[in-house]
Amino acid sequence: MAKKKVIIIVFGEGGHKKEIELFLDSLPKEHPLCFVSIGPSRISRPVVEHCNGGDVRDKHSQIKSVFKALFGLTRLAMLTIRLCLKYDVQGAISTGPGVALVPFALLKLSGKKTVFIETFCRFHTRSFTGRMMYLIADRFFVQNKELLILYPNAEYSGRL
Amino acid sequence: MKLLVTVGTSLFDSLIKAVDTQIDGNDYQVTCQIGVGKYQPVNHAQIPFSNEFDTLLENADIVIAHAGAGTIFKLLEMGKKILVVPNLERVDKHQSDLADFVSTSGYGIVCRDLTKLAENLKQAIEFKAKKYKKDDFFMADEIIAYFSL
Repeated sequence: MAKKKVIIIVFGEGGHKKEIELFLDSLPKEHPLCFVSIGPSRISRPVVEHCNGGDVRDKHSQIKSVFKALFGLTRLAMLTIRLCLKYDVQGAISTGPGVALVPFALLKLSGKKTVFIETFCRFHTRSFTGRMMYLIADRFFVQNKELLILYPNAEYSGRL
Repeated sequence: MKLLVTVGTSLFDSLIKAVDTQIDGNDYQVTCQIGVGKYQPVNHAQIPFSNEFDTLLENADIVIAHAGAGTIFKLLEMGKKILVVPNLERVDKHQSDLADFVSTSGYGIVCRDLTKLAENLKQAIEFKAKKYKKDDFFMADEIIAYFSL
């Protein structure tokens, strides 16, 4: 039996999760895409499967972030591989943060399409994830025109 | 006057403590949504981040909010009076970016010094904010087409 074609959506807590929900809301009522999600909690939109991706950083401690990153990135790699074995993964879409780096890198290496939408909280500064994704992602969108100065090859998308 | 304080899903105890000690419960009906914070307000009510939160948000006359993007853009779209307090206790300082955007666009007042919270709150109540304008996201069809190739 043919595997189901899906796109992996990857997101973090708070605003990043809200942005993915807004992105899914922006899609027309009928569209051909199916999604599986990796994130810290379920989104309130239908997906084929949700995987708990946890977090790869501690917002208040750099030391804790190192340990979280070691475990988190390994877990994300395993999750991504499992999803690729289970489904016919077409690519990935993310609104950040760093939780998306490993899935994007693995999918990029295997020739899949990757779309990154830089978070709408950035206007005049670049996030670490944004810098990396600018190099990794096939399509890199910014929601604030001010960022086009920092990411000249980015595409302006309007704001979610 | 109904005052809602929100820190989203984050930790921002210094803001909750400042509200608890500086804002008089006789002047405002205060509800604090404390996120994952440990400080428990003693002078005001507190709630978790839940469905009840949306109702409180709708009924609030003014909102003191951390500068989290999900929170701020929602408040701007609702046309709420806001006092934005960037959380600079986080490892990354990106909330400053959004606070600057709110301030320079004339959408609300920003508090950068918690000792002046009560004073900034009065300014926020008096402040005539500009109506929030945005370019709606227009790349949905483009992204669908990209993955459908």
